Amino acid sequence: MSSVRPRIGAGDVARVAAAVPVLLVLDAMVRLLGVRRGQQVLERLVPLRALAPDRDPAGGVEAAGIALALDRAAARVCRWSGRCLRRSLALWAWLRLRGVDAQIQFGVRRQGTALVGHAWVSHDGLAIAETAEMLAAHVSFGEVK
Amino acid sequence: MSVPAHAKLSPVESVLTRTVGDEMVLLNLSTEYYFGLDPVGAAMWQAICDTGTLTGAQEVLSGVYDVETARVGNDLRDLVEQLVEHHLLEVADE
Repeated sequence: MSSVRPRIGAGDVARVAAAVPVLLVLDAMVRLLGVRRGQQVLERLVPLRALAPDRDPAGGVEAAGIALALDRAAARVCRWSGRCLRRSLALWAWLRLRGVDAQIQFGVRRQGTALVGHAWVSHDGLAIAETAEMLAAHVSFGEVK
Repeated sequence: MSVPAHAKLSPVESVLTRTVGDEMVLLNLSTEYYFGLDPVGAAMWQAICDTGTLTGAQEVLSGVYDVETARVGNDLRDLVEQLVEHHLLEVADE
């Protein structure tokens, strides 16, 4: 099976490059503090801004672009497990800067004898920058904030 | 590690639980560790959470399953030791 990936422009390259250190810092934070405490610290470091009335970053093209850049950066630098979690934390923090009070969700699916976990970001009950197939495959633990 | 029969047991604060099909999945958000329990294991987890001790859980489960009490106790102890080892269950200091 082949997949078609959108072409990457200069702006996307800059976004990916900017995402790399963010993901590395978040990885260190999660390793040191765990997910919940790490998110609490991040919440203090990245206060929720006011949402401009004419913007909808959670459902917009901009959020999808950021998520794609984070995916690409994570694929290059995150050789560890839990890549989706670091990506979700970064997207969650980015959304806070744009006034969106999003949530991180955890899910799990059975793959043979193994349990495979996944994390994603949602807002108002809608997942952001996730495929329907990925969401359908996982049973959610619910929102974690 | 050996868990005393009357030691107070409780789920670690950062543990989430979810039923997936006929099994229960535990997720520790601190360690990002997933742990699956079959239906019997899920019943054991529930009994431990409800009663807070090995002996309490053993009493509950002995009334549900038609097996020797000693075997229930041994299986419970094995599970509790695994759960403690994986930071899913904590033993309170006595």
